[in-house]
Amino acid sequence: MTASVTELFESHGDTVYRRCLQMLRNPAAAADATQEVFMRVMQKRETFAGRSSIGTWMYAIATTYCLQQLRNQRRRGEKHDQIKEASSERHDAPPVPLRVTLQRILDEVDPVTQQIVYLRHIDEMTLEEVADVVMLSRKTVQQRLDAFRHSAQHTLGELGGNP
Amino acid sequence: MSEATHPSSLALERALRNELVGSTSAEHKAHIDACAECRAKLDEMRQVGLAFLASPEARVVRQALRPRRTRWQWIAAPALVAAAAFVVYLQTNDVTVKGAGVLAVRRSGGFAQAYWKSGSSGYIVLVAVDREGAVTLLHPENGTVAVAVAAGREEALGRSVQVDEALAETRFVAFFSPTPFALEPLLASLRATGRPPKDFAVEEAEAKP
Repeated sequence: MTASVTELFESHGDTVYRRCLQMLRNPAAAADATQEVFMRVMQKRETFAGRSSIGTWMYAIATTYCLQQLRNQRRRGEKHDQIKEASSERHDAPPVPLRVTLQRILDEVDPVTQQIVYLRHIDEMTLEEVADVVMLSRKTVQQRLDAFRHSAQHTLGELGGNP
Repeated sequence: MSEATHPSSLALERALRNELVGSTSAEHKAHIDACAECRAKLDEMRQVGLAFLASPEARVVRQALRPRRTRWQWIAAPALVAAAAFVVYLQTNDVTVKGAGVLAVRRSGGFAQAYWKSGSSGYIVLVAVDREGAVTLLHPENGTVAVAVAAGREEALGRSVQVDEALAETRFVAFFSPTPFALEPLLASLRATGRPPKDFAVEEAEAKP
């Protein structure tokens, strides 16, 4: 990658900020997150392999960072369940208690699966888009989704939920 | 994609950047052309992005990302510069500052090593101060007094350090004195105030890019 991180900020800062704002739902937090994302870009830029566009690569870094922030917020006990807010705009969103339970299940899985589930079910991306962001094959993405769904159904069954 | 199913946020980002790719790109383009809601969303996204890039918050980010000016004193040669700031404090009572010595940093692979070549015999300490202000004693690695150095002989200061972003935000501070001095008061003051003790007669090196 030949562009400097300051050049990347001028060309892709808006994309990263929008992604952070979409996930964190707070302009100040999104601006802070944007800075942190570009710090990570600075650290990781040598690892960019060109398997996706730079924009998609930074979108993935922003998504990972914001998911981590959301997870930290929940773990600190803050009542800022941004995923709940994000999904509440959907007319087909499941009832709150089920979503909260699903979120707790999601918190227990590995970060890549978390990202896949978020991209597929919160962002409503196609399998192809999810695979592009996480840089895995569509088949692997589908396997991860199936495994998560199986695990979630099992956990919800144990909790007496309605999978 | 049904008429009711809008493109994802990633697809809209790509559309905004004219970077729609993949097997569904034509479908996304057709949908956006026909969907007033998506076009309005794209306009809103564009405005949000422009407003951010023009905001004070974006200026803060630009400042944070700007390469830091490295500060040096007595660099042996420009080619030896590493990605960190070195500041040398010299106890100047009995020694000419310019003749005190030369601090050099040499890089090898992903590592940098600091060296001190003393203009006169004396005692030296090297510490690292990270972005949070935490102080780490590097040379000597342990002990209670500064390390003796002989005139005219170059000596490695501590171990080599990995050159990374953390290093770029770390200040390496060397203290040199012609007479022995204890570490504890120096480290305690650095940790408490970020400065050497008041009775530690020092002259701070001028920053040079």
